[in-house]
Amino acid sequence: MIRRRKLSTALLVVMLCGIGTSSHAHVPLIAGELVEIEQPDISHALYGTIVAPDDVFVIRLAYDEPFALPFEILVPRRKGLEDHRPAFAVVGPGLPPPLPEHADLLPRSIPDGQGVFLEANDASERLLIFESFTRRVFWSSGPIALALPAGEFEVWIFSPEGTTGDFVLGFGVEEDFSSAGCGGLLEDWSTYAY
Amino acid sequence: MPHPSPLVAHFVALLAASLLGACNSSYDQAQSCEQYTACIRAQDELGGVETNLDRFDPGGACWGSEEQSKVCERACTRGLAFERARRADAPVECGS
Repeated sequence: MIRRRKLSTALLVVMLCGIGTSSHAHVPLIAGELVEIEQPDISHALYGTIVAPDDVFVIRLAYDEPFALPFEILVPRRKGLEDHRPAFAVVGPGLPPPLPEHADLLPRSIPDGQGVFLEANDASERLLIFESFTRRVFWSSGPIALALPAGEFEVWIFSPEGTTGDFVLGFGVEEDFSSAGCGGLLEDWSTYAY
Repeated sequence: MPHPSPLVAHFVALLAASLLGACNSSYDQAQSCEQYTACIRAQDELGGVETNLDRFDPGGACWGSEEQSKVCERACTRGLAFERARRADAPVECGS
């Protein structure tokens, strides 16, 4: 009887961990430090906190073929973050020059020969989404599919209005089951579940 | 070897079935993504390149769960608008 219970429990844990590992790849972000994404073709959720109004987070993606994927920026829906609207800019080859109304928002100038997609995250109505992995509700900028040519891109995350607080940059769709484990999930739970 | 109690066996069978069902769930490609992929492919043809659109195509990663399918449906709607706005000479597949 005891052996049977142990077997059932073990099976349940393995199955639940299996659910847990269907997570997005995750990378904690630190302002001012360049983060290079090793597998930009899989889904990522990148967590960071804007502490100072002029913080800029930089992520580098490199594609060896033209590649289309969705991007969005999320903010945990909680008191104190109602006005926190971090923006992101995808900067690289094949993108258009900044719109005049966007040029002043960017924290850096666009390198010669490159263009930008700016998600100003300023829609009058904010999209609310339930994220099933963390089981939390976020405000979303609204996802957008971007078709990028082969080459190197940077994503800049910043706060045009100088607000501070947490954010999550999400991009991609395909999930990678190989690197996450149940232990890692529990170990990092405070990162995922604010 | 002792058999599991009917209750445990029933629970495990239910859990396994629901997990297998979740793994195999599939949603139809959203119309916005059908338009978006047609637009990008038309642009690719003009430029002589081929964009990897696998995830947005029918059977792609976008359509494996309800949550992802909603993300992709919205992403394609906005992506299509971005493509229209950035090119005055966008192919007809991109709409107007």
